[in-house]
Amino acid sequence: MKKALLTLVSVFVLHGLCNAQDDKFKALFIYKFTQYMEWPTSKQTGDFKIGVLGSSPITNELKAFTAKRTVGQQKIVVEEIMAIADCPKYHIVFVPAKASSNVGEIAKSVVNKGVLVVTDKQGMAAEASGINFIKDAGQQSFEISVKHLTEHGVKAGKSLLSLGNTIE
Amino acid sequence: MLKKIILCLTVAALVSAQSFGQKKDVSQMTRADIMAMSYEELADMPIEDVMLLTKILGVSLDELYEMLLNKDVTSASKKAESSFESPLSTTVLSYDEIIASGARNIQEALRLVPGIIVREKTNGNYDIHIRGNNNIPDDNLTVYTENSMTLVMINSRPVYNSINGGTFWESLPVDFADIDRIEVVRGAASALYGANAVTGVVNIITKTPDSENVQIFGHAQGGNLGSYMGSLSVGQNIGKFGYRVSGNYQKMNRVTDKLYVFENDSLMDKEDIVNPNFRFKNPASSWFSVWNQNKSIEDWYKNTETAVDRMGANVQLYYSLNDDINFSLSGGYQNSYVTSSSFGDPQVSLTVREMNGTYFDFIGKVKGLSLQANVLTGTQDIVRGDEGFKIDNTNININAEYDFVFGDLNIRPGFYYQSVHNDDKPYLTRDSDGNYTSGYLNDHIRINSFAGSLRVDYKMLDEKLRLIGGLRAEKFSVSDKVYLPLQVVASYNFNDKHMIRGVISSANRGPFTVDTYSNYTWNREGVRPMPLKMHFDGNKDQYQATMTMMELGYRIRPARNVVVELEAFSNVTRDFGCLLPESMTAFVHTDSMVANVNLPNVGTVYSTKQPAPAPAIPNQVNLKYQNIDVEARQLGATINLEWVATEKLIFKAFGTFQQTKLKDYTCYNNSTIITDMTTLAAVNASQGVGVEGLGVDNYFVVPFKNGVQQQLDAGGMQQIEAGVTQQILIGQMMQAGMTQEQAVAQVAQMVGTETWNNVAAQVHAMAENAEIDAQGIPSAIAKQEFDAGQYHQTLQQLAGMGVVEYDGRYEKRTVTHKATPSFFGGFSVNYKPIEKLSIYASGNFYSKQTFKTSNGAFETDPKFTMNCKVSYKVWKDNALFVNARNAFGDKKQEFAWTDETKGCYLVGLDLKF
Repeated sequence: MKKALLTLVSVFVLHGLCNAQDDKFKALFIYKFTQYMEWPTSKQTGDFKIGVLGSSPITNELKAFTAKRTVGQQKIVVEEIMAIADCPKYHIVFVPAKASSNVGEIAKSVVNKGVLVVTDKQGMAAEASGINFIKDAGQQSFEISVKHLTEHGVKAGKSLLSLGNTIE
Repeated sequence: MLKKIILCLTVAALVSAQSFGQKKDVSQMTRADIMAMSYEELADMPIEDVMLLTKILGVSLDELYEMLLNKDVTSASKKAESSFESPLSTTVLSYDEIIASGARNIQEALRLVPGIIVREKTNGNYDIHIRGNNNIPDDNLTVYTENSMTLVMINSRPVYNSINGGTFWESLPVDFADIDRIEVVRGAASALYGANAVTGVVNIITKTPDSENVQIFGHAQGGNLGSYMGSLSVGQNIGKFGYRVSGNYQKMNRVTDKLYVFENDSLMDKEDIVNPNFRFKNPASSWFSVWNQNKSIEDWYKNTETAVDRMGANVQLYYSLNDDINFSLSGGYQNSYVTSSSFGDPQVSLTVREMNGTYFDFIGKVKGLSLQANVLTGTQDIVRGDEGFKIDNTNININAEYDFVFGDLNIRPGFYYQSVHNDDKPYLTRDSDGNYTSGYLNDHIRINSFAGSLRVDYKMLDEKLRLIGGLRAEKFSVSDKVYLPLQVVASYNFNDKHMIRGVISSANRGPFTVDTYSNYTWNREGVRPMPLKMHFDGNKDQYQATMTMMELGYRIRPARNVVVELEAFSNVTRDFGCLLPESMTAFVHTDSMVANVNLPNVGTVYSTKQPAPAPAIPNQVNLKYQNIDVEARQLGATINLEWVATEKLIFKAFGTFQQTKLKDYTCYNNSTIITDMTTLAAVNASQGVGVEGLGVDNYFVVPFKNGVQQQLDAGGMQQIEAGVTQQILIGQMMQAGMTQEQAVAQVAQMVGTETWNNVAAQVHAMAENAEIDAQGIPSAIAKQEFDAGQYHQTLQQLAGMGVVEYDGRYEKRTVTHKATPSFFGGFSVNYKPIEKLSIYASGNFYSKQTFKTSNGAFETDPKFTMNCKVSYKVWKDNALFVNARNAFGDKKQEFAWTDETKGCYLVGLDLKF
């Protein structure tokens, strides 16, 4: 019985570690986006702010990746966004899948504000976001909406556009 | 000091080299290497390398959980939604799981689905029921054990047998290489899907090409029991167009070539069965044949070894302008031959079904409009060799539904048309008058139906609360009745981890051709015991079986890798129907000195003494499809656990507990009714109107010579004579001191001996005298009509008078239904110790059951069946495997009077390009 319990506990612990690893890779992509994007001059001073809408395990992963790192001279700060009205002050807004119903409203609020909106649900790039995580043949990838990036006042470098699926 | 510096430089160089090596060899890294990387290492990688890492990682665990625990399902609401949010009890069986499991065909794969009972009849042929309600009514023909209350579809195209109801699974044209997934909805769902979705829906969804590259899926395996089977599909998208072509073949043998014969209660070699001199265990049966002697064994069976021999071919064409506008056109052909439980009523339990069919199916989607039109045309010979069972059929369905979406409100109206055509005339021989009389229908029958439906689906409270209301009105051309199945659903999604739901719904069966339009006369003379003829009539006015269901469900996801689902259900099903005697005519002799056919349906004829019910001989029984009073009240619960322990170990377990009570159950069957009709006809004839409740109109006397002699021709009289001869000899031997058992055994050996011939001659002389003497056997014809309530009263009175014995069989009572196991379930474990190796073990269990048909009761013992498939990917996704079905070779029969089971061990390969 003890062995069974031990096995059970071990499996759950292992499972927890694996979950963290998944979030880690999404956070890694978001961090890497900072190196391939161009923000307006007005946002090239002060802290580089990454916001996550609502509570999500990815917040801690992002903090781990960005600790002691910068975007140019800007120190990276990761925060949880409590209200959609706060979105324009961030450089990157990540909308977890469970909060996807708010994407339209967020997109409206960040027009020409220099905000990269990143989503994690099928079809979101076509709908409102600048970059959306997708699975391409079972592999983690992303799609980019140049139209939405332009509307939100950010620009993607050519190397990023060549890696993601660009949609009209 | 110098040494220390050199050492430090060396270590630094090695670390640097190792670090450099990692960067250079990203493509060589394993998943474990990546998982072990630090934040710093990952953050420093170029994004191109990060993307390469994701390729090595493949499917993320998150996605794995979603794929395995929260699959998309469309059958519950007719639009894609996650199974966790599904408002009904649903299970999605993915292609990958089906292939991993090693199931040999679609029916066997359904053993992986909670709430489904799968019993093997012959190797590869199965009885399949959702939650139960099987074998109702009991004590009747085996055909009523077929499941005619589950709607089986391929891409929402109904594929049930429109003639008798039920599904001929072997006649499905598709196989594994075609299948994307199988969706199962448990519970009444006619409001959404129409007639026959009473206990649930099985919707087989086929693959759609999703790549510009040629995609190939193939499966082939072979093993013992003459098993070899394979399926292959090739598909591709070319711009906005796509195609997929596929083919499949399956051959499996039975575990024996012998056939079970009811009268002998044993497996018999086919040569013995066709031998007219074969002695049955029961001497009273020795004078009739197992089947019509005009037919040879080859007319009934190509061979008695084959269990399944089937093939199918399909072509699908696609055009997709975009997600909103797309079309598909499918077509295919199937041909099948199976040996399985009989749809007829022969003396053997297994007969052959042969099917062929061609189908076309058009599906179109233009924005919110969904259109589907399909036609299936083919031939069903459901009892090969028995004239009357071969019927041409054409089924046409045209459906249109529109999805109106107003924010969180979804309104979906729909219109449906179905036209069913069945024609048996092409396969019948005309009688001397040029009429068709030897078929079940003797006509070209059409049943049309029109239906309209409306489904309203509304989400509120941030999409957490969902309310669904559905109503369908369906009118069949057979009668003026309009069926109104409904569905009311409420679900509340607390968060991603907890979801509760409640369902109230009703659903009805549809009218089938045989139930409604049967017009069949079975001439049993020289083949079966009395009565000499039985006539079967359909009934357009009967009500179709209807279920009312309440269901409560709770889904919980305590961790991202675990889903537990509980569903509790209560349902009441009424208006079952079956073929029951409606009226009969009997020959009755009034002095009762010679013979009394007291057990006519089993052919026992014996002499009797006064006082007794006046002897009567049933002549013709008219049977008609009728509703019966019994109500099935089921209460049950299913629990289902799915646990993705790690990406290498996936565990599933499920079980259903249920109890079904039959209210207003009466314990009679066709035989007992015919016996009672015979008895009461005789009483009526001998006592006139002396028994209350039997009207004088039911009784009339005809001159013997004009009436009886014409009908009691050679076959009938010979049967009576042989029976009387046996009984006289048995009586003599018992008087000489033998036990009845010894006497019966002795007489069984005496046919054709001098003693037998002498006694038979005396009996024949008595019969000859009777022909002359209007006071001998018989002297009247009585007509008797069946009414269960009246029979109960009458037989009680007669029992009080000491004339008959009566066990209260017409008295309504509540009993526990034993044909559905009180517990059934299963489990599966899929272990992948390395990426290339998959071990899939699965097991199924059910508790004891008792089937009852007109052939008696059959106890099915509890059984646990274990299966295992081990596959190894030798190149990319292409694998070689070994597969064991019923791995421990448990022989116990799973279905009444069908074959024992055996282990089936196979080797094969799965292809995927």
